[in-house]
Amino acid sequence: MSLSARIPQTLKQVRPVLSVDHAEAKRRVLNLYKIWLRQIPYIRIDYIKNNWTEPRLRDVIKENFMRNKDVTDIRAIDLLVVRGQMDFVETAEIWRQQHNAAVFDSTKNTYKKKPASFLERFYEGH
Amino acid sequence: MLSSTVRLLMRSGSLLRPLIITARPLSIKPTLINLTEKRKTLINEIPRRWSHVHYTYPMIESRVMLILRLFDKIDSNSLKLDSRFVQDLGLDSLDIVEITAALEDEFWTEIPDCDSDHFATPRHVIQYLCDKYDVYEHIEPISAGKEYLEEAKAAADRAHH
Repeated sequence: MSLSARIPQTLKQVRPVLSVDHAEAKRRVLNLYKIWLRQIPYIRIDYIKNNWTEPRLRDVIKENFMRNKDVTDIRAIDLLVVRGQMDFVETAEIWRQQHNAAVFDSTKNTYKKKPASFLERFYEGH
Repeated sequence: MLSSTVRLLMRSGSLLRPLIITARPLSIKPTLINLTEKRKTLINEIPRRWSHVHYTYPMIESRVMLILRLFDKIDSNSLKLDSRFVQDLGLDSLDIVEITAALEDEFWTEIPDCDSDHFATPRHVIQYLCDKYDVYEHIEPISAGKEYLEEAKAAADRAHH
C-alpha cells in the first residue's frame, strides 16, 4: 500500500459557488449594491407606510451591506450575494408586506406594544 | 413598379420641399437663398443646442465637482482635484458606487463596473467622462457658443474657489 493512499487528503480543491477570485466577488457585491440603490425610489413608494425617506433608505441599505463587511470567504460572499438578490426580487415584486420590509431597518421597532389600559385591551379584543 | 414610383415621389417630395420658396414675411427661418449665403456662418457660429448638449471641459469639471461636494460623506473643504477618494476623503467602495450612480443620473449615461473600479480621484472621473464625450481640455468646440463657454468657465471658477 502506497503512502499517499494511507494518508487522508485534507486539502481539497473547493468548487466555487459563483466567483473564482476576490475581485469577481467584490464586483458582484458592488453590482448588487447598485441595483438596490436604483430601486430606492420604488421601495419608498411600494412600502410607503414605513415612512422612509430616500437618504434614510440609502443608510439602511448600506447598513445591511456593512453588516457582512468582515466576511472574507469567497463562497460565503457568493451565498450572501445570492441571498441579497433573492431579497431584492421579493422587495421589488412586492412579495413582502410593510412590516417584512421594515425588518431591514434596525431603527424600526416592529414589535407591537401590548395594550396596557383597560380600553386599549378592549379595542384589541381582550 | 407603381409602388416604387409612389415611394420615389414621396421621397423626392420631402427632398424638394426646401426648394420651394414661399413668401413668408413673418417667418423667422431663413429662406433658401439666405441659407446658401450664410451656410458657413450658420454651421460655425450658431450654437446648435437643439441637437444635444455640447459638453466642454470646464462644464464637465464643474458638474462632477458639484456632485462630489453635494455628496454628504465628503468634506467639501478638503475636496481637491487630486484628493484620493479612499485614502484622503475616507470613502469606501460602496460610497464610490453611490457616486457613480449619481454621475450616471447627472450625465444620463451608464458607467460600467469595470470603468468605475478605476475611479480613484475626481480627476480620473473627469478624465473618463471627457474621453467618453470626446472633450479635450484646451479645444473648445466652435458650435458650443461663446456665452455658453463663459458660463461654463465661471462655473468652473466657482467650483475651484
